[in-house]
This record gives sequence, structure tokens and C-alpha cells, in this order.
Amino acid sequence: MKSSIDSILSISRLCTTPDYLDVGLRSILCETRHACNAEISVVSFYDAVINELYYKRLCSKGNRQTDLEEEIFNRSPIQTGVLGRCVQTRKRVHVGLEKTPDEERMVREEQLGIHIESIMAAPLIAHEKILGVIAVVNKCNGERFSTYEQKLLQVISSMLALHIENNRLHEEVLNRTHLTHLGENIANSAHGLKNILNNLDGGTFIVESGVMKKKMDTVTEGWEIMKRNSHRLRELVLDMLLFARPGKLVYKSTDINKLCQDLYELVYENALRQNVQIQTELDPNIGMCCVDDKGIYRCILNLVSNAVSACHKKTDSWVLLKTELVDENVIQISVSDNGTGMSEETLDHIFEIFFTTKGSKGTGLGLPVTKKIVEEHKGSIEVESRTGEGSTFMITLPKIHAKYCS
Amino acid sequence: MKERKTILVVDDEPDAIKFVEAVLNQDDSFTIIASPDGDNGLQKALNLSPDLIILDVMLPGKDGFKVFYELKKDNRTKDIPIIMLTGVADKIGIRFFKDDMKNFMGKEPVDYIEKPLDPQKLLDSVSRVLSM
Repeated sequence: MKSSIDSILSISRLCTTPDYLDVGLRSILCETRHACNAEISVVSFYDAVINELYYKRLCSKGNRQTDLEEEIFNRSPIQTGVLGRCVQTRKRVHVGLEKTPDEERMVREEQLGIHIESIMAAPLIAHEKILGVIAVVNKCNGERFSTYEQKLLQVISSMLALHIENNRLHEEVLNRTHLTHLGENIANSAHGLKNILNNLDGGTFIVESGVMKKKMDTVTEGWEIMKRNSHRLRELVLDMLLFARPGKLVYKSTDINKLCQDLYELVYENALRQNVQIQTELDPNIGMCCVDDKGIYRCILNLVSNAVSACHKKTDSWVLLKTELVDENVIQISVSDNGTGMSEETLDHIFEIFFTTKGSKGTGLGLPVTKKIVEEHKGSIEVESRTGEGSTFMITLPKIHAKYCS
Repeated sequence: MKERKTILVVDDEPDAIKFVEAVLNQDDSFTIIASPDGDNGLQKALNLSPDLIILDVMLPGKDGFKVFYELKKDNRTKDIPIIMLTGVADKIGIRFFKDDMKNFMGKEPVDYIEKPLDPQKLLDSVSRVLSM
């Protein structure tokens, strides 16, 4: 049979393990019951805002061998009951019971489905702050709780209080990091927006000066700038929304090769103007696949336009768009280039939102959006890159047979 | 007769350069040279010795800060005044940059102008720098 000291050891272990409090708390309460030879153990948290105790979890009724867990959620003002008084007085341990049960106690007895004979409670205090109370009810053999058991409960309450406070602080740090990230992201997106706004202002300025000087070609020049940048603004906002929206894929039976061919025809000439030759190598065995065609198209387009940008300033540049049926259930779409390649430092950040090496032309959203869409398809994306030699992006997707989608 | 001044504008956005050019050249009084990135900008600064460089911070490859360092390190370009164009997210970068400048070089750009550009501010800044 387990001794009290074993239970205390388990609790100390549980309290020092970084864990979600809720999971650990169940075990801690069971061990507390064992340590103090009690029928029931219970923890209540103190809500300082409305000055009430609320029961979070009630652990195990019955004897040592059978652990029955039960959860009761209940609020009670701290002016009543043993637990309430324990919180109010902050006394180390509060033992005993009044002879005639008050109304609150009767309610609680009814909730627990037992008659309360003896109770022992210890406040949870960390850094002078009261967090709640831990209590054990009814000693197993019907006696009153001994001084030894009172001391044990004191030890447990100190450990648990620190554990709870640690968890709270940990959560606070996590939240703060999250907020910092959010702030960075807002600043970064504002930067992208301001660049476009700057160009729109420029367009307006040029249109106005054209109107003043009655020069039609200046007006046209400004107007073109405005059109170009309102288009960019639309793309940026759409990408932001695409990234922020919860994954909603619309699966369609899709000919991936045709998708690639369409895309190729769209970008081929534009790339050629930048001295980049796009080639395709499409596996005819790939057949019809069940994918979100618009999403996958966007992914491939992002990768191809990145590849073309990476070839910037090089001669004899090429981009290869390739599809392959890797095995019966797996397809791979890859985009390779012989462009500038990426350093390891850059590679570490390419999927981070708003990261870009393209100066003000990049939105920093292309690759994060691509990764998101691919992962929503339960696929994966991999990169190989060498500085000065080029990069390859590989999208691997599970091939869902076309008959499974509409 | 006054000599016609040359201004080098380094910005990877052609539209942003057009904006600067439209603002400064309302009376066709400057020769504006455009440069799309840092390396090209450094090269043109060396070859053409402009009277002023307007330098965007967010550039592909070498960013505006790095370009600034290199311009100031080189004896042939170190005396060319520089106006930096900055976006909102560069503010923190600029604070560190300013400290760096003071600590290591004792030099700062002549002016910072935030994007979106205020045409009047740009005009004032340029005429102030060029009359120095």
C-alpha cells in the first residue's frame, strides 16, 4: 500500500513538471486524498474580482482503492462555509465542523452525495496572494484528521499554490509573446500598405500636375501608376485575407497538368521579357486529382513568380515547372530555377509572414499562403537551395481520387 | 548661370521614383538619375558623383542602411549628402542606425523623409541640402 510520503513525493513531482495545470490537478487531488486518508479532496479557486470561491474540480470519492473522479462547478461567497472562512482568515489550516450544519453546508453535502463529518482546509497562497483553497473531507476511518495530516496538507497547499502561480506566469509570458508578434505583423503590413499608398499619392500628384500643365501624356502616366497600384493593393489585401481566413477548401476534380499548362501560358511571355525561359515537364500519368484548384493554382503561381524573380540579373536563366506521380497516392509539383539561390539564414525565414527579400515589391505573404494552402490539403512543401546556384520548391500532395469529389 | 544639379534616387519601385521626379522636377531644374537597387546605386554614385542621393531604406539585397555605410566609407562618395526615405516599420531600425552612426562614424544622413511622401517636405529638404 502506498504511504503518505509516496503521495507527497508524487505531488512534488507533479508540481515541478511543466504541464497544463488542469491535467496535473486531477492527479494532485487524488494523491492529496491518499496522503491525508480522506474520502474526498477538493480544490476551490478564489475569484478576487467578485469575491467568491468557485469549485473547479472535485476528486475521488470512496476508499483508497477506487478513484472516482467527479467535477462540480459551483460558486459560493467566501463569507460562508469552512472553505470560505479559510480564504478569509488565511489561516494555515482550518479543521473541524460546526455541530449544526448551515444552509451552505447542506447544499454542498447534497452536491457531493455524502454527509460531511470532518473537514480540513488549507489556503493556497503564493507571493502573498490568495489563489484558493484545498480541502479534504471525511477521514476514511471516521476519526478526526491528525496533526500529522494537517501538516501534510500544509505542505501540499504550499506546493500547489506555487505550481498554480507558475502556470499563470507562464501563460502570461506566452500571451505577451503572441501580442508582440501581432504587433510586428501589423507594423509590417502597414509598411507594405504605406509603400502602395505612397505610389498612389505619387500617381495623384502626377495626374494633377498633368492637368495643370494641360499635358495629356503626364496625366496618362499618373493614371497608369494609380491603376497599377490599386491592383497591387487588391492583391495584397486578398493575400492577407487568404492567410487569415480559416481553411475552407473547395475540392474539385482537377487536371493538374492542364492547370500548370494554363499558368505557363499566362506567365511565359512576361518571363521571357525578363530573359527567363520557363519550361514544363508534365507527367501524363498524373490523371485527375481532387484538389482545391484555385488554391493550388495560387501556390504554383507564387512559386513560379518567385523563381522568375530569383533569376533577376542572371543570364541563361531558366525555370522548370514539373509534375510527377511519385506513387499511386502521391503527386509532386516542383518549381526549380537556376537563379540566385538562398542563404541558410534566408531559408530559415522564408515561410514567416511578411518576411521578404524583394524589397518593397514583396508582400511577404506568397510563401506563407502557399504553405498554408498545401498543408490544408494535408500535403507538405520542401525547399532545396544553394546560394548562386538556384532553388527547388517541392509540393507533395496526397492524390485523392477524382471520384471522391463533386 | 547656376549649375544644373544631379540627384540620384535609389528605390526599387519605379513608381516611387516617378513620384520623387515629378515633385522635384516641376520646373525641370534637376537631372534625376534612377537606380533600382543598392549595388547599382553605389556604382552610379561612384561614376556620376551626384550632388545629392535620395536613398530608400527598403531595398532588395543590400538595404538602404548598408548602402549608406558603404557610401560613407568610400572617400570618393563620403561627402555626397544623403536623404533617407523610410517606411513606418523602419523607425526602430533608424533609431539603432542613428546611434550606430554617432558611435562609429560621427555621421548621419542629412535628413529622413517618411513615406508616403509629403511633396512639400521633400522639396524643402532638397533645397535646404543643396544650398548648404
